[in-house]
Amino acid sequence: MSMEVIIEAKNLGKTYKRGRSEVVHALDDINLKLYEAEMILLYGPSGSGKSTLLNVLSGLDNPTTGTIKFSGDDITEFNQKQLTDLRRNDVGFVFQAWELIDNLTAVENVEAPMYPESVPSNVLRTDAITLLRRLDLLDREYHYPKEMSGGEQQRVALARALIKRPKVIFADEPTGNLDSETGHLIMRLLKTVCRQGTAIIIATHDEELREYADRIIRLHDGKMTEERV
Amino acid sequence: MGKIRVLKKSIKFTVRSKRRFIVFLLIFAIVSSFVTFFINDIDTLQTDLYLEQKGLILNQRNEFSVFNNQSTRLLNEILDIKASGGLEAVENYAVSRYADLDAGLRIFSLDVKNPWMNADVNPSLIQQGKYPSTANEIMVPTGSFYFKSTSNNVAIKSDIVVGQVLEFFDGTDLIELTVVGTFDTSKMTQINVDVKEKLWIFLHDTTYDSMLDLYNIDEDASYTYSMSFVVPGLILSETTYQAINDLNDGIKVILSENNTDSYGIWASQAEFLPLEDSVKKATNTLVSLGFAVIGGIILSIMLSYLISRFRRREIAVLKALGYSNGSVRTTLVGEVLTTSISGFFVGMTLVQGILFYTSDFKFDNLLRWVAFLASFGIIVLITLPGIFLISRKILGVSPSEAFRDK
Repeated sequence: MSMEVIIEAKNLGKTYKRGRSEVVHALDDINLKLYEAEMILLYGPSGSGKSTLLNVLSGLDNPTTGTIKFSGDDITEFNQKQLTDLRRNDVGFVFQAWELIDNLTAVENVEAPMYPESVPSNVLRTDAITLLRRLDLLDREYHYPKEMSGGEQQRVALARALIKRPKVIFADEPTGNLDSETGHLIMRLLKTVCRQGTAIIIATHDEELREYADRIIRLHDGKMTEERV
Repeated sequence: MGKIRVLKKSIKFTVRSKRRFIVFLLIFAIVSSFVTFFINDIDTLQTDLYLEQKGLILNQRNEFSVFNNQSTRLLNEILDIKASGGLEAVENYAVSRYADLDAGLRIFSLDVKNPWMNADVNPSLIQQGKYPSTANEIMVPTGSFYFKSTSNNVAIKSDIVVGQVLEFFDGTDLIELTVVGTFDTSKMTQINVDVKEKLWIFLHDTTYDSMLDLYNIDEDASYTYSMSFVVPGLILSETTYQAINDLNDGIKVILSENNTDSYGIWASQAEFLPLEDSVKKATNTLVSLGFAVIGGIILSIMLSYLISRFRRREIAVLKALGYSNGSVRTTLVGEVLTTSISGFFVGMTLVQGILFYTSDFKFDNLLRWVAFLASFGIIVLITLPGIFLISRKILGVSPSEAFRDK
């Protein structure tokens, strides 16, 4: 069965100016394809360009050179509105520090990405509750982030990413602030989501997570090497 | 639907940030109270000044002695002094009649086109409601009154409120009058009668005649008059001030050259507040209002700055989740407006409470709608610089900041 290519990056480069004259090549000639239902783990030391690559692939930042096709459309040509639409409809994010909104309950955090959408509130609430149930968080739905453990907060963050049914989830160190057991729990959940068709790309330092990857990409000084699992 | 839901949610979330919400709400409440007090002052000052600086009021000195034709003659003479007094025209004038129908009842006619020119109920005296605009609508003083019977001197004490209907019935004809406005008698100086000894009713010219008929009062024998004139020009301008003085002098000349047989005995409201004092009074209030508004603007900018600075990461996350700049702005503007408008209503409650406990007349001596609405408008305007700041800050936040380490 041939898998659809979700993201295709060609000759991707990103340079920054540091100080007056120093030029930093954060990404250098990156070529990458991400398929549906595929999980890629992105390894590299701090400053190797992992976060920059996530930003660029997800349309949060523009590359200096190269093209990125997202479901066939070159997003480097997109204007701000198109990029916002892309993030709203096709992309989900999971952050290292979860980044839940403190004043929202778990279920409201899950619903939050959909608030600007024209989805009836009762339908939205049903979807959010269903997701929380799938992630075994039903009894925490009306709890605030401060009342939940790190693992629970990360599961809420995952539910928030999933409510839009995105084509791709970008995760930046999703297990970085969790103990090993909870980290594996989150990875198993991500793997389940991935098997259901969502492509996932994860930036991490944790070599223990290799077992979940379909492919591993290593970044060093902005250059990419790829290894099959 | 989406934007409205974002706004609704932002209101809910604002209230949940209890500490910040309460602190800023209280500060906004205090600013709102000051703004409202000053607006109320200006509202009163404006209407007082209008009559003080542009208007001249004539009252009879001896009741029951002036007849209809005398007043008309005097009025025509006064209008003619525009040439001799250097006035282009009297801009506006009104003649009001009043009569005692009974020991306990006095009625006043209102010129329906210019009811505010009646010397006894100028706009600054209105406490609740409005001027009568139809034949069966009336204005009355605030609070309670005594209605004294002529035959046995028994007095009925009663409270009177807006919406109340008074019925006058002589066995054949019935006149129903609805109270649509109340005014404050404590500031009235024109007619030196203790209002608590009589029921005063201000009504439409035609209803005034109907009431005279109902009580079988001889019109010529019972009429007394009050006249009000307004001259053209700006309030607080030297020219206008001079014009009204000229008019006053002109009237004094007419009255001094004639006797009561021709014109009756009239007194003009000759003692004006000097122009300089009026300007000083108005300037002081405006300066105070200016300080309150500046304070409010600083507060709104401070709140907006705090929201946009300390919630920068949250803004980045919302953008990463697919919120447009407009949606993020709606969320944050909703917070600022919720805080400022809630503060306004708390401030209003404070002002109403202070007015209630410092007033002689319970329940009635409350803020006028015009002052309330003007204050509300100013509070909303005060928040605009903060909203502008938030909009600018939002544009400067990149969604990629959500990925950076804290």
